[in-house]
Amino acid sequence: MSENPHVELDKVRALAEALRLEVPSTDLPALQRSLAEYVGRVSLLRLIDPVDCEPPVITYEQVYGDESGK
Amino acid sequence: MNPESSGEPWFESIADMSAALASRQVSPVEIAEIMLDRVERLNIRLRAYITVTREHALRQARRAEKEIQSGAYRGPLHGIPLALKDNIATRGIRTSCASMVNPDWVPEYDATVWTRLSEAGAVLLGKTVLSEYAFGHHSAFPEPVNPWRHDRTAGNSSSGSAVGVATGMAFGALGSDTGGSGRYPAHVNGVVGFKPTYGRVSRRGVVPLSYSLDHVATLTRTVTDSAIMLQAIAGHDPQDEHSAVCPVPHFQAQLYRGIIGLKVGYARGYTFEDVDADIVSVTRNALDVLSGLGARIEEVHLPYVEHSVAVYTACSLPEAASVHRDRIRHAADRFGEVALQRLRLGSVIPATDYIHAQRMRQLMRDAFKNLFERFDVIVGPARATRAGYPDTSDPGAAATNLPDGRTLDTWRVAPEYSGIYNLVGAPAIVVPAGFSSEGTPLGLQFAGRWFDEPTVLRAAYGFEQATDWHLYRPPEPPMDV
Repeated sequence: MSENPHVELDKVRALAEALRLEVPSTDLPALQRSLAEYVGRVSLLRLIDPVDCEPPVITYEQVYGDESGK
Repeated sequence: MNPESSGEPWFESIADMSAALASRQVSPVEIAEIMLDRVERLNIRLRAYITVTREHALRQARRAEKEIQSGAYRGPLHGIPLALKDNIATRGIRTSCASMVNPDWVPEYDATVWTRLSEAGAVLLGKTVLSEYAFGHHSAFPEPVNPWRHDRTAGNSSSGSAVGVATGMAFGALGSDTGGSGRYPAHVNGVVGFKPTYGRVSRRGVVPLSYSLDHVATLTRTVTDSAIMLQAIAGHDPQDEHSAVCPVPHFQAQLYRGIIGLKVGYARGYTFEDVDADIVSVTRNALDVLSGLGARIEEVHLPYVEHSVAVYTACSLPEAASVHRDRIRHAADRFGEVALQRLRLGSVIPATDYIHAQRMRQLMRDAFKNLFERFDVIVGPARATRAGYPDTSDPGAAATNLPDGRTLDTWRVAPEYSGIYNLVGAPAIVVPAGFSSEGTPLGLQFAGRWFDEPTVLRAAYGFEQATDWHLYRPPEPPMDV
């Protein structure tokens, strides 16, 4: 989970510019580092395919079936 | 170390103080003045409060006094001095969010939770210190001092609320909990931190961090007091789109049923492996206590917890970046370094990752639903670590050096122990359960099924009453802190 893949600085700069984030050049290496860390973290997650999913909010009815209370 | 029984009024429980107020043994004005004097004396050293609302508090206390004297007693929070985390909107009172982005914001409305506490007769002592927007650190708002060991963190992000309650600067407080921000400060300050079910308590007027993960949390010194505070703030609010339409049970009434036969699960890996040795010991003792009270303890496998870091990151950071979208572009230089770096990362995480992670939460939720069909509560450490050093380090740091000499993956700690219950939305409470060899408090966490706060509270109360950890008080701070 914690491998640290290489993320090229030029691509980080291009991404930040495309998104109009206005990141000063001195701050780009920090963003590069945290993005690389993030990419490493989520790599395993991408192998899982959750199908037929609904929004993640659970309702009282889903737990208890009605609103009669406990 | 022995539990203190100082008899000082500021360390009374809400339940006991409310009995004294209701029977007119003490007056709301008298107790408000005592508390305000204590805040004035300690806050300069412990930094729990950003804003102390003396005049407002005394006005509310005088009103409560008049009402109680005339027989119009509102209930257990009537005349009780409380504190609010400074990301909870209060009409006419500065709400800074501990940020220099808009440090002098004075809301024109009250958050629903404060409206409800006011209606219950509570008295507002002030607004407490937090991490910047509940997830960063800004040097203009220094972290509160951990009253047990001044060189250790007071926790993030509801640290001011927890320190205030731990040191008798408030009888109770509200915080927010997006990934453990209410429960972690409870763990390191030796108080009770409770995050109810997602949707149980309105977040309207609580400045958001991450919409789908944000909860309001209570900070108190006892489980009974948590039940009392939850009773006042729970219930549907049409102004919060995620507020649940469901009955609100009487939380306190169900505390006393005992835990004989309660089905309690614990995850061996997250309880005993790669966990601080003192926490292992404390948790082992806690399982023995619960077993001795008649609970049925069994080992469980917590589903998908190994993915909680990735899912939490991919959900929380883009949502935070969305909340602060304009501020990132136009006021970047006013954020602290930690918040800004996290917001920028949240801005570049692909939407496909965010959606994928939200769908993963469905799998997690369904798996926990199956788990809670077999178990009433899951119990385990509040964290794998004791109170570490204050969080002023590199925001991108991937490792934390622990007081016990080990190095731990920083990113892993919060989501796997606390954030998992934000991801699935289930209620979770942290109660005092012991101390590390360094004298810092350690907490025990109970989590349960959705909207079943009564069972979670009942289990926590059973443990609390069988032990005396909730009776220990931190030493009064020396003048040179």
